Amino acid sequence: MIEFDDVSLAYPGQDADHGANRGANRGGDTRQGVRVNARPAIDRVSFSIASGAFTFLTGRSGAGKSSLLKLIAGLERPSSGEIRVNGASYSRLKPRKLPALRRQMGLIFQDNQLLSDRSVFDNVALPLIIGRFGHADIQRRVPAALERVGLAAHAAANPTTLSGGEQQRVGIARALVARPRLLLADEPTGNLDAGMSQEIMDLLLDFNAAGVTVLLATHDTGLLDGHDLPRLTLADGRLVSPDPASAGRTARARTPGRPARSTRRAPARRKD
Amino acid sequence: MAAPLLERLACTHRGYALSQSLKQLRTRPIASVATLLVLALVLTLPALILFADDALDALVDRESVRPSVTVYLDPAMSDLDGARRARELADWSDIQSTRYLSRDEALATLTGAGELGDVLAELRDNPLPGSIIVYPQALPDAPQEARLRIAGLVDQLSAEPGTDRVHYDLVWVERLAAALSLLGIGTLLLASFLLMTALMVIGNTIRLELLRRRAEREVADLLGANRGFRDRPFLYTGALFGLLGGLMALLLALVAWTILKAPADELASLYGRAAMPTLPDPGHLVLIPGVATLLGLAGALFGLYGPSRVKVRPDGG
Repeated sequence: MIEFDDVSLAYPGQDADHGANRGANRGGDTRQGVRVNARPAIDRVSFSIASGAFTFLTGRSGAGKSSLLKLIAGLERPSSGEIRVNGASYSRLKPRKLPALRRQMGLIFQDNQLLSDRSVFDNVALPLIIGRFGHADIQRRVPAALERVGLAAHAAANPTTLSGGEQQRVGIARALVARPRLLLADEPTGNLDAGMSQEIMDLLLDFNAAGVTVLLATHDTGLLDGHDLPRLTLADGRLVSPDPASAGRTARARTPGRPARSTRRAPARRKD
Repeated sequence: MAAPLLERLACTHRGYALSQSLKQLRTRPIASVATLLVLALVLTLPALILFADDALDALVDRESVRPSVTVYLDPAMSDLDGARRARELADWSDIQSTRYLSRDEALATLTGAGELGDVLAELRDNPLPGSIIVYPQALPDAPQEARLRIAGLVDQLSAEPGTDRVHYDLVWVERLAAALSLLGIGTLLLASFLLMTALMVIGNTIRLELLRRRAEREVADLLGANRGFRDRPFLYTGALFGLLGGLMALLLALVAWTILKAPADELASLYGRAAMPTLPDPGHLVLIPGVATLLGLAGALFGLYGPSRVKVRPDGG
């Protein structure tokens, strides 16, 4: 479902070719008076994640987790390499087709990105309006999504009046209300205490059990404890694991240039 | 019934954009009204210029400003012959049109013109000859060439049988035409500057709205909205500002029209002209909010896609 094949992402001022000359250019250099950061945000990363998997994306702050999620969401274009999501090759995808692809994904952020000028209901309804779901669908799906995250009673409330955990749950309801096949979560528990974090984690696991592919980026090692789930670990933009224990289950790293392979987890029953 | 209808409407892309635009006007009433007042005041003057044009149509005989040559006919010539002669002249290649003014019409016109009319009314017989007003084809812009063309026409008309004399006051017409042309260009420039100001006001308002609602556009982008969905509320806001500003300008201009009507009518009556109409041309009443709406839309496009546009910068965390 998600395949990265030798993907690099270099922001302006970064060296996209650094991966090929890694040994000679580790500390960065100065070219024509401009300081060039030798390290691209994502450096020749290859992996595949099967449909229905729950995968952790770990690494320290600045390791490239958010950049990798942005690449999957089509918010950034790779400097080199090939990305395929749900069978669609990004290199062959026209930019105007990206919004449609993004509508097949749910995105959750650390700062939840809720709109404070409208109610919880209207925030959750936004992806459905964008996706041209009808009024009847919206009236049915939004309460169901809020019920699912335990916030049915807060539909009319303004998100700013809710606690951090509740706001994050609104973000989850918004990400899942259109029933995407893929959920990308970027540090969704970053601002929450341990109890709230576990609550969010349980919700994501529930959705995964319903068949949604989840890629959860976190640097919170506490969140990983007790969950025997595959991990992709980034360091300085490079994929440093999966380790042998996790490879072979769901997420697996590949040698750059070799065809992508994925191991599909037993598909779970999808529920509404 | 209305609420569910609006709810349903807000679930469509266009309905959502409209509801967001109206919401922005409603939630920031002071800022919205201030912007609308600025727009209304800026648009009122062009509206008044348009109305002044309507008023001038009623108050001024514009035919008198067109270059024309008056051919006074032999007093012995009958009206029938005079009218026939006018039709014959209209066929000339350097004449655009002609109008025959009979002896009775000439008398009626002069009788209503102050002291001379009083003298004419005392006479038993009409001493005035019939005349033909000749409108030449479009004259060259260069005054010297125009003068030569007219002089040639005057010579030809003078040589025609039945012509008593030919009158043409070129200098007066030239001065009047030049003055009117200057006035026309001046008002056109003034109206253009004011419309440009309106464009800038709306463009800047939309730009500020874009900055204020940046998060909303970013979130919409992250949720898979295309550019049309993200930008449409701002286009509608621009069009709404234009429409409402145009309607307010129309109202102000109509108030000014009503205030100016009585003294203008009094002035017109002194010159024996008709009174101003009660309302300006209905087409112009529709044109003002229509043009203002287009201006609002153009301002929004300028704010969205102009050189100082506010780009969506997605931030996935």
